[in-house]
Amino acid sequence: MIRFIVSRVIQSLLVVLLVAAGCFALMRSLPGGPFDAERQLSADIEANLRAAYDLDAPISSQFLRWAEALLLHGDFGPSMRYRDYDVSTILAESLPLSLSLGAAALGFALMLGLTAGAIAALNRGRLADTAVMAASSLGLAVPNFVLASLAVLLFAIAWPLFPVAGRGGPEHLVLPTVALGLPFAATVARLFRGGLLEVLGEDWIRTARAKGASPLRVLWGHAARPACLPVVSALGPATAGLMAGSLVVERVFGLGGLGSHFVESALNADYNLALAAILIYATLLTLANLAVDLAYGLLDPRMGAPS
Amino acid sequence: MQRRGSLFALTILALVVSLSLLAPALPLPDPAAMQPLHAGEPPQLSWTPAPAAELAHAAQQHPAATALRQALFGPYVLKGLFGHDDLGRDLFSRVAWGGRVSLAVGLLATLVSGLLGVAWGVLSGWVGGRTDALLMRIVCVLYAVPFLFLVILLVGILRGVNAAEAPNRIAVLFVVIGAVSWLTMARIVRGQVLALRGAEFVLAARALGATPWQLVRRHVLPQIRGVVIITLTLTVPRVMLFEAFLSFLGLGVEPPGVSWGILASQGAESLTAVSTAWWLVLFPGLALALTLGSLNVLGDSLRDALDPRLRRV
Repeated sequence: MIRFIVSRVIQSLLVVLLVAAGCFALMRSLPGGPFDAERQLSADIEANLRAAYDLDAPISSQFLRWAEALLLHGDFGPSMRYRDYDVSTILAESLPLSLSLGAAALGFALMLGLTAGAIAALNRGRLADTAVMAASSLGLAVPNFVLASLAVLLFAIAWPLFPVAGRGGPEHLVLPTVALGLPFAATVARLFRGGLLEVLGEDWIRTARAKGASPLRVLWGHAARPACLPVVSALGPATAGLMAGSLVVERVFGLGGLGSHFVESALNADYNLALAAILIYATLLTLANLAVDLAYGLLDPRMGAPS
Repeated sequence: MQRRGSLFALTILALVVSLSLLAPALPLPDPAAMQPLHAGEPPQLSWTPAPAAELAHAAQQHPAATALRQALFGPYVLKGLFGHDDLGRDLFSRVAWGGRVSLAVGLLATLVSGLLGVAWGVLSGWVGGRTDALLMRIVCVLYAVPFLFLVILLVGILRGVNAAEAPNRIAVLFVVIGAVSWLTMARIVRGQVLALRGAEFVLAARALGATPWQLVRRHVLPQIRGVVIITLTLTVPRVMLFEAFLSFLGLGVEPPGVSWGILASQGAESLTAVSTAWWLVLFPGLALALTLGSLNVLGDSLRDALDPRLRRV
């Protein structure tokens, strides 16, 4: 087990490193740059700017300097678009918001999805089952950004329960959380229903029922653990999906989180900010995948340590 | 139940596809024509003869389709079924024309991913040994790379380049999306080929002296056709969603081009506390959701019908 974890961590580090180096080289070798969009600068000024942001050295030495600043000082460098802002300052402002939005959406999706999946499985073939499955088909088909706009239309404009957009108190995060979490809740509901249906037919469930365990105890005490394996294995892709969804949801609601900054930085060729965002996304993704693999081994002893 | 569901999905899909394919031959206004008089008008149907200039313009751009249209509908034009946007462009016409781009990107990018994935999977599964280990290792590593974010980064930076140097945006979309979504296909195909390689009928063909190419083409590829079709059907909605997603962020199809993603994005932008143009959000979203949902349902029922073992892949 320990060996498995160590090898996975090393592999993840390698992937993150490769992504960072690849992006670094690609961004700088593509035509276009952070100072293109404005009016044409004179050659001297542009040369000075390039020198100031360390863009005139060979790419390999630029990368080494960038990595050194990051690893030794935790410094992502200055933003190339937002003058006088460090990337670290921008991250400190935006990352907590995006993380809490993602966590809230994940929690919401799991709660809703597991409950709905359980209801559907226990009422197999009846109205409740059909309703849950139909709703989840719909949830899978409606893209995040459509959902977000519809949510604004219904619950912020037509019936002003929540603010239309902007940052602020927790009420500003309710609609974004729902819009971000619903598609994933649909996936969870389907997977959990499928898992439960498979498990509920097993002999040991009949045994549990026979010894007098209440239906709820059978469900959550006996059936849930093996039945949520498919859900757990979907958590890795779900993390990627949530991060992608947050790009559009943050835009619709004007939240100014990491997602909005990332898209802006890609459009502006703000190299340092974009690279920092990519690194954070890659790290989160590999962490999620690692956690899923570990949880899988813990939940299902038959798996042992996956190789 | 399932049968009825997939028939329903097939019907919706046929409707959407024919609406988009036939858009030039339908009595609709030009999707880019601005009618200031109708700017921001909610859905309000009108069926009136179009001015001759408009028809002449259409005839110039799509001669055959416009001839058909005039033979069928005369000079009449259907306006305002889905309302008008803030520049007075007819939303129904824009949804129909936007579908052409969305569907084309979906199909072509899926084709790219299918070709790449099948080739990779067959090579890996058939050759086996070290080649297999290496190819699958590469797929495994690529799975861990956050491609979506890389794509956004690349497309975003390429966007700043002036038009003369920049490649065609829609062509870039096909290639980028296709190249990102072949991994699952490669894995599935490899598994199937691995199982088929040892099958007795393949052994028999080999004993008869068939070359490896003949074996793959005559005996392996026909066997995996079902799986490939299922996977492709399920790839199309994912790819279309990706296109819509990129267009929504301003990184995909570029205005004045239309795609459903662009329309949804413009609808979302039009939502403020003072203006509630619900039709600009609802109809493009509905077009996307219906198409994606139908493709999902269709793919699922194809999978259940053709190969129940694949349920969990």
